[in-house]
Amino acid sequence: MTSTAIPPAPAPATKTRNGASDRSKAENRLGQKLVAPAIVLMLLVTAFPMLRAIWLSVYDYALTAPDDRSFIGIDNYVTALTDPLFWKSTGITVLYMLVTVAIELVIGFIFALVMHRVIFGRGIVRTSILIPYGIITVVSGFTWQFAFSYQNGFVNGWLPFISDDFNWFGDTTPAVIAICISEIWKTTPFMSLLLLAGLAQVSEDMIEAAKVDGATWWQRMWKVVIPNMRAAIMVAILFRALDAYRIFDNIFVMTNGAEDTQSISFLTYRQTIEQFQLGMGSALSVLLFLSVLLIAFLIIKLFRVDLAQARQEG
Amino acid sequence: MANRSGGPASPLTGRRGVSGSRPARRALAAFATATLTATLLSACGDSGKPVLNWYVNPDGVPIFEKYAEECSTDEYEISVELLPSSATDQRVQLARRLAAEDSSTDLMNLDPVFVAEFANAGWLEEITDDNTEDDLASEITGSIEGSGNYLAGAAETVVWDDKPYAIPLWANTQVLWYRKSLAEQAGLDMEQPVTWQQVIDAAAQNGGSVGVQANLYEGYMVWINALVQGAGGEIVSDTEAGRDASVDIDSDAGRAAAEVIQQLADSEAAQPDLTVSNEGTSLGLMFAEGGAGEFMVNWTFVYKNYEGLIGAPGGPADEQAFEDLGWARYPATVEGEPSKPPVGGIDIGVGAYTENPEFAMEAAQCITSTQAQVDLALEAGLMPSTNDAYDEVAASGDYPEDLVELFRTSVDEGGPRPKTAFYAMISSAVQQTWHSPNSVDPDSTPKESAEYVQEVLRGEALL
Amino acid sequence: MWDNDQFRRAILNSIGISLIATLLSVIVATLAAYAIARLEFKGKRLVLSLSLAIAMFPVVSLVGPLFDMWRTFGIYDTWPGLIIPYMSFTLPLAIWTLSAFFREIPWEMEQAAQVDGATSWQAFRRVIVPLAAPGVFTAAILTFFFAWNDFVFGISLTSTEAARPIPASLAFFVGSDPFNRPASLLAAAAVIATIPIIVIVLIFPAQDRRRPHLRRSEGIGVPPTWLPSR
Repeated sequence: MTSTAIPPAPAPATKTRNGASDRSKAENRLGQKLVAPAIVLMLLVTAFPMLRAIWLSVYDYALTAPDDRSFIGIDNYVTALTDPLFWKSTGITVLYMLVTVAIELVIGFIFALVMHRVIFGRGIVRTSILIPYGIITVVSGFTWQFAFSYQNGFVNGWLPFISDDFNWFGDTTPAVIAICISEIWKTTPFMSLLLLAGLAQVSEDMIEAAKVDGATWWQRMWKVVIPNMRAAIMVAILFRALDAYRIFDNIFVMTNGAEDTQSISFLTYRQTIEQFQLGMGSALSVLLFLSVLLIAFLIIKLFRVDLAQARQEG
Repeated sequence: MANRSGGPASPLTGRRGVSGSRPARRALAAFATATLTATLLSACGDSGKPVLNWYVNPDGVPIFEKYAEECSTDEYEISVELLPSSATDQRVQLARRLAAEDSSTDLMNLDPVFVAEFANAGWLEEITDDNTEDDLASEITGSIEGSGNYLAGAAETVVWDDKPYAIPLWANTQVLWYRKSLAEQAGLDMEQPVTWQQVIDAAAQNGGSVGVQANLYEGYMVWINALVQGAGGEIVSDTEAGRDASVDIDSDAGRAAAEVIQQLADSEAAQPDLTVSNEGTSLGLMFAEGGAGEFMVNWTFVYKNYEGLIGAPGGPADEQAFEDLGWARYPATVEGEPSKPPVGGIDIGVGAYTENPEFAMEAAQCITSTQAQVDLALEAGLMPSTNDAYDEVAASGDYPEDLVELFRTSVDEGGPRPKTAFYAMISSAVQQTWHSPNSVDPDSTPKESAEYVQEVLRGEALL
Repeated sequence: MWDNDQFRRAILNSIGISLIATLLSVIVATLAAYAIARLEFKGKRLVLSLSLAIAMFPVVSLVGPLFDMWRTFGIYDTWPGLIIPYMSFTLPLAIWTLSAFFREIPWEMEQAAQVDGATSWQAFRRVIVPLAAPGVFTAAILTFFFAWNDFVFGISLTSTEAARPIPASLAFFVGSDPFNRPASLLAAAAVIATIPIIVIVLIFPAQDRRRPHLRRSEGIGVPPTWLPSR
């Protein structure tokens, strides 16, 4: 990670207690003891597989023929990076990311406003907005696939400009639209939770003051509310984008990658899990990991998101 | 079962903010205890008799359970464990266990297309005349030449490198299901072998449709393979050469197959969901209200399916409507060349790492007994793999006699999908280039797919 | 639906595994977050960067190695075999959320209470616990959602009903027609699987209403979504 992502120095409260060096040594030890269980647990599950993935990525290795394993250097990476399929999948993944994040930002903001302002039935409103997030993705994917299917779905019936036997999964564009809708339905609540948090940071006094000055609702939104929750918006975009880049379940359930809808995660899954090509699969995993890092870096640089600061202001 | 009690009480209720330096250790200790307890509890089975785990696909489970009980002896017990419902997931689950040399994978239900891959990886115990009764191995290999009890198409699926590695349990096949009224209206003589061209035209000109499986999945491969073999070709040959197998799909047979798919895709007879069609999607169109019905290639379960749906939505309105259901041999790709109906089913394999190979082999034979096969056919609609069992099914009167005969001939004369250790790769590569059916072009698709399969086999392209 | 023994087992597994994972994860994360927010020690940045990196790693590439490891440890197809990965993957999120929360808590109040004669335990329980509760609660919800939702680990690290959770068990359903998923079963499963979520979300706002002065903290306490939320 870049240094910008590192949270700030400890709260002042800690500093005032800096006394004798014995004390700070004890504090050092205590701190390390307290984080130890978390570190051990995180590493227990991830360290070995991560290192193994990097190591396997330089081998030609299939699970079904373990004896034929051979060292091939960076060949897996060369094959992947020169394969049009890799770039096609990367392209479609970026498209999923851009479309879903942009739409979720708008809808999520509206939901956040509703959750923030609503007074009556607050619990019910929040629950109904948050429910999609709690539904198992596999189930929601199937449900949407069902909704879009021409035989028993309702989507064709509801949309007047679409013929009743339109096959949503028969071409790339409609299939991508269907996948995006399912993905947006599922993850908008997350976005709106983050934005709700941002809204809570905007001081009511400033909004009132703007109102007194005769600002319209739109002006208040654009000039007061949004600038003041900029950090929260950027954090929301960053984290949702990283998640969206790894889209998998909805594609797996809805099209199984047909009609060029497969994402880079799906490609990785196919090599590793379905084809047992552990060498190539590991190389793709590493590439996926690196591209997520790159996106995180780009967003942080582009929007100058200072996580540390965002958190501090929070 | 008892491991639910492994949930620990919150170990940290006594946490004391800054002053406590012990919580970390206590949390770890509590966690470790919880882990250990749960592990021990879940590991405790009843001791004594060895338990053979039998991994089964989830259709026909009640009968599997019945035979697990019947085939258990004083020496061992058979326990049924479920696999996921999709064939791809079944393969993944089994392969992961076997690659880890899992000794608890004793018996498994295998889709025929996985036998070569599993046998090649050394994951299956070979079936020999020594470790079976009644010289089962010779019986199976002899059946391929037509001199044994097994149907040739079924026996062929379990042989790899000239040796049998599994025992056929049930054998599935596809036939052409249709509405007699629709065929009559089209003036199509169903007593004679029909071609795809005839079927597509007949449906298109009479308001009917043609049901196939053309989603991006194994079922599409089944169709493509049957079309290619029906034109006298193969997708790949010399498969024992592994990655160096010869890719033959860029041939006249491949082009003939592509032509059929293109014809259907461009025809009025194509169903709206052609590109996502599977074995289930076209079932509803056979007896759809106000529709002329359809021609549909599909597996043997169709008969029992419609019989059970008489008067129900999606099924025939009454007995009389059900009488309108006809069946014929799988359509021919080219006129004059006999069709090669697809063969599927389930074979029973014995895991190579089992601790009780003799017991497992004995159990596998018991599970695949004639009686078990007859029960599967009569109670679950899964047709047998031996002539003996077929005779009994025919005698039972549960199926029309000509249908039983049609099934038997189809399996016997059917064509298996390529037997290669790299089947999953080849199948996936073929599916990718031939999907969507709307884009299939005889001039380019077979060529492209041959190149792609070749590259994938050589490890030069991503799948 | 409830008559289906397979599904009943899966529900019990899911509830049990998710609750235990949530509880343990929150406890471990609380320790770590407390240290990060309040104490000065070496390796703090490392902890935070490491957890970010872990959260970004593609889950599919972990499954194979984990399968081998769990078999070696003998926790394959057990509750702990799922609880441990769920904890590992929710810890980063929980740590970040909680440490942000803890930084906002006015710890001086604890000392003030002690000066007023409360024991340190009383001060902690009466002053700090209520202040930290919403943050802990947020972390708990997210952990629970992750565990409840997970499919990949659920299907790969279990082989029997002993530990198979709901999302994985859905892949095992077949209806009368072996080639189409039974829509009604799925619908019922979806409804049942949603109930715990509704219960949890309904409790959630009750928390922040009771403590309006913590609205600001809610602001930062709400989680970054960089965990694989599915």
